[in-house]
Order: sequence, then C-alpha cells, then structure tokens
Amino acid sequence: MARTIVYRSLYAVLLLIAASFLVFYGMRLAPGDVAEVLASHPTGQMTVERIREDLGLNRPVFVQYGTYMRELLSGNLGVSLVTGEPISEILRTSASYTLRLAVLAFLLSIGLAIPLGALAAWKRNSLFDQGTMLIAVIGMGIPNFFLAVLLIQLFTVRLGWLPVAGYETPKHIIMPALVLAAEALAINLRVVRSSVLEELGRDYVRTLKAKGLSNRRILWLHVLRNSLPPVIALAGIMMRTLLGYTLIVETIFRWPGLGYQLVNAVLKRDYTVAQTLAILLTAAVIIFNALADLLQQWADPRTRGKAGA
Amino acid sequence: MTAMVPTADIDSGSGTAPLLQVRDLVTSIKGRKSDVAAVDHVSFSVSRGEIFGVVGESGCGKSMTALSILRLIPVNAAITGGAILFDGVDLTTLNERAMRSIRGNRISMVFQEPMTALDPSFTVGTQITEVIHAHSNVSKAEARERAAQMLDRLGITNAASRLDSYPHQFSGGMRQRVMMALALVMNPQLLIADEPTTALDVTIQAQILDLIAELRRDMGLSVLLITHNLGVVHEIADRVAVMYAGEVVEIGPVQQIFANPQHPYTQGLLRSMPYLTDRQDRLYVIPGRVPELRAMPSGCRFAARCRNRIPICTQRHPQLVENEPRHALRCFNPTPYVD
Repeated sequence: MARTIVYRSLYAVLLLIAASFLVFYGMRLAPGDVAEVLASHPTGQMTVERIREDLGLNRPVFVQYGTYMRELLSGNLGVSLVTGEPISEILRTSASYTLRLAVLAFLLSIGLAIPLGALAAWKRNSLFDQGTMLIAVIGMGIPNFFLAVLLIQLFTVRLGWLPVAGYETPKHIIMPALVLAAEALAINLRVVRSSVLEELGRDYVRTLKAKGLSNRRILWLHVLRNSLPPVIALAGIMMRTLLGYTLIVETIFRWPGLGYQLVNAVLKRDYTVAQTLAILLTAAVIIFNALADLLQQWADPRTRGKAGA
Repeated sequence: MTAMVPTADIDSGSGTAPLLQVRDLVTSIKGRKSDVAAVDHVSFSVSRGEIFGVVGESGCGKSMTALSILRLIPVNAAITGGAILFDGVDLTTLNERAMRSIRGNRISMVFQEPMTALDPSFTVGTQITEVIHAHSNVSKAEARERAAQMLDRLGITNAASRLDSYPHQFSGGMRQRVMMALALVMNPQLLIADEPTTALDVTIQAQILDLIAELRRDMGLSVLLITHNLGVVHEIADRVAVMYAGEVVEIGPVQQIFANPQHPYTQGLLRSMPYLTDRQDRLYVIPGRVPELRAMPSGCRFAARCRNRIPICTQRHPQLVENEPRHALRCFNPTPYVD
C-alpha cells in the first residue's frame, strides 16, 4: 500500500506539471490579450507595448511559466490584472462557495443513489425499480443548463418557493445543488443497481441465506459491501465532473464560486486570475482521482497490499 | 403428467421416526407456457445419524431437491406439492421467519464451490461468528471463541489467528473446511452437502469425506449427501437414492445397490465408472440423452436409453416398488446386473 501511495503521488505531480503548463500556454493562445484591454481603458495613459513590457508578456512563454510557477509555489498568487485585487483574496471567498456546492451535490447524489439503487436491484422489475430507472434515464438525458431553466420555471416562477439566483440565504444553494447533482445521481443509480444486481447472483449470497441471516443483513451489509468498488471508482470521476459543471451551474445561478470567477476572468482576459483558478481546479481534479484510486484499492481486500496494482 | 400414485416411503428400517422425511415432493420451474417439474414426486427419509446419498447426472433434480428442503430454490421455482417433515414439522408450511431460524441452525448446507461460496470481503471469523449471533445470544468474545474451536475441530491450525484471514488467503480444501465450520458451528441435526468434494483435489476429497464420516460418528450428525460421484456414495453413505429426470428410480442400502443394482440406469452408471484394477478398452457410455423437462415421455423416462426396454415401458409410467426389503425400484423389466 505504501508503495502504491508513492507511485500514485509521483504520477499526480507529473500530471500536475503538464496540466499547469497547458493551461498557462492555452491562455496565451486565445486571441486578444490583457494589454489591449488595459490600453483601451479611457483613463489609461500607457501604450500596448509598454504594458506588455511591464507585465513581462513580451518574454518567451517558458520563461513566463517558470517565473509564474516559482511565485505560485512560494505562495504568492499575484493580483488581478484588471482590478488589482489579490488573487488569494478572490480564492478565499470563492473556494468555500464552490466547495459547499460541490460537496452538497456529491453527498446528495451518492446518498440517494446507494439506498435507492440497492433497493431497486433487490426488487428488480418491480414498479419501484422501473420508477427509479425512469428517473435515472431522465436525469442523464436532460442537460444541466436546461434542467436549471426547468427548475427555475417551477420553483421560482410558478411556486415562488426559491430565489432565482444569488447566494445570500441558505435557500439559494438548493437549486444549484440539485442541478449539479442530477446527472451524477442518475449515473450512480444505474451503477449501484447493476453492481448490486451482479453481486446478488453470486454463490456467496446463497451461502448467506443458508446461514439463516436476515435479508436486511445480506443486502445492506454483505452485498452492498461487495458492490462498492465500482461505485467508489466512479465517485472519483464524478467529483471531477461535478467540479467541471460548477462553471456552468455557478454562472447560471450567479453563485460566486471558483467557476463563476473563472468564467468572468476568462471573459475579461484577466490572465493571472484565470490561470491560477484553472490550475487550482486542475490540481483538485488530479488529487480527487488519486484519492479515489487509493480508496478503491483499499476497498477490495484482494488488491489491498499489492504493490503497483 | 403421469399417474400420481403415492410412492412407497422406504426408510432405513431403524424403527424410530426418521429426522427428515421428504414425501411426494414436487418442485416446479415456471415456464412461458406451463410449469415443469424439476423434482417430481420424490420421497425418501433420513434417519438420525445416517448418511443418505442422492446420486444422478447434472439436471436430474438432486440439487433442486436439496435446495427445496431449505426453501432456497431460485425465484422462478416453487414447491408445488408434497411435504418435507423435519423432526415432525412440515417445512413447506413455515413462514420465512421460522424458516430462517432453522437455516444454519438446525439444518445447514455446504456447497460445491469453496472458491466462491464465501463472501470475499469479510474475514472468515466474521462469517462464522455471524451465524452464531444470528441464532443465539452470546457475547462477541464467546462467539469468537466458539468459531476458533470449530475451525480447530475441523483441522485448521492456528485457528484463533486464522479467524482474521480473508477467504482468498486459504487454499480450496481449507476453504471447504471453513464452509463446514460455519455450517456446523450451531451443532445442527442435519447437514446437506451439495457436491462438497467435486471442486477439490482427490487427496483433499478423501480428507473431507473422512471428516464428514467422523462428524457423523462424534456428533450424531445426519447427512444428506448430494453427488454425481458413485465412488463418494460407496465410500461413506449408508443408503442411496438414484435420481433420473426428476424422479427417484432406485433407492436402498448402499451395499445392496452396489452388489446387486436392479434398475438399468443404476447398472449403466456403475458400468460407466472407470476401474483402477483392470484397464478397459473403452469406458461404457449410456446411449442417448436425458429427456428435456418440457418434453417428458409419458412412459418410463429412461425407456429411450434402456437396453431392457419392452413394449409396456413406452406406454405406462412405472411406479416405485419395493422388490426386496428396503430396496425399491421403478422398472417394469429389471434384470440381474452383469458387469
């Protein structure tokens, strides 16, 4: 297990270096740069060339990347090119919003998918099973931006129960969390159901019945425990997808998280903010993947303790 | 379907009431058009301390019979007739809760596949102690102590520390011992062993069979041994029922049946066994195939493959008839066995 952790961490670090460079370079490939934005400001006095020189934008991209990463790793995230606000400050406020939203959506999707999916498998072909799977199909079929519109139409326009956008009250998180959770819930439901179904057909289930155990213990302890590895594997991927979707969902609901800030920074060509947020999001994804891998190995006693497996 | 005349209840002749009496058991599998009987009016009994063998080819209904007793048949099957009397109580009439209190407690079962019949994610200690906790009110420490004693009794060294091992850390033979440990830990009256040695090496097979014989002697255990292997039956069983196409075709004491098999199918089974002593040029093969459940002939089910066939065999269904004390067979034209 220790060796697996070392290998997996090394791999994550390499991936992080490659990804951060791609983000950094990608920002500079987009047409138009921040110097033009700043120089076009009505009160601005400086020429485009002067601004480029000041910001070091005229130097080779590798040099810029090296300088940037050195500062980033020493904890200096820099300031916004547009507003002058320290990026650490933007990060401090927006990260907690995104974390709250993503964690809630994640817990919602897993917390509902495991009991509902397992029960659907246990009562396969029943009305309950068919109903659950119908929800799953709908959840996977509807794009989240469209689901957001439907929910706003229902809960805000028709019923007037929930605010349309913003972040001021606890009610504001409900719709974004639901929209963010929908697809993950749908996929998790299907994976839990099929995994539980597969386990229910195994020989050991008959042994458990022959031992005189209750159905409750057989399903919720033994079968569920054996059904988890694929669910855990998926949870890592799910967390990554959720983080990606925050860009869309936060923008729709004006939820001031990392995704919302990132989209705004890109639109304003605010390089420093955009690339730092993008790199940090990438890092979060890579770390989640590594953790999910390790968790999955631990979950199966047969692969536990095998190096490099 | 054939005439439903109650089959003779051939018991061990011990005089006392048998522990298990299966009477005219019918277990049907639901089909698209109609149900088919995988177990068709099967009757036999197992006395206290007796090892009773059930032999037959795959698909003859022997495993379905065993699963019917514990009511663990697949969801598409149902017990549609007969009675299963265990210690005087008809198991077919019990509710699920009462049935659960019997499984693993008074009747236990071990299965063929020691590799897959144990839950891979829990230690063997947990898997044994949960049987104890399901059927009795004892402390965790005491349950663990009893589990360790049971493993030790079944010949697993360092039993106490092995409780914390997972099934994949045991060999096939050891796993079958673990299976037996969790089947026997509640000291049941009846052990149903469904092909307990089929998946094991011959040397391990012999060890497991010795173990079963020893447990019968020491614990007074009754055993219902399901197997396709006549050698296994000859080795340890007291009486045997030969099943063919869902029916018992011959039943009696093992010595009699091996010395003087009467039914042409039993004779065919014995003839097709390889012998170590003299080398045969070709092994005997019973010609033809077992009829499909949904296309069962109205006469004798074995008629199409039988060398003793006479006209009546394809016209009428033979009944199980006692032709000598405690030995019955289902045949119109039995002939003495010639090897």
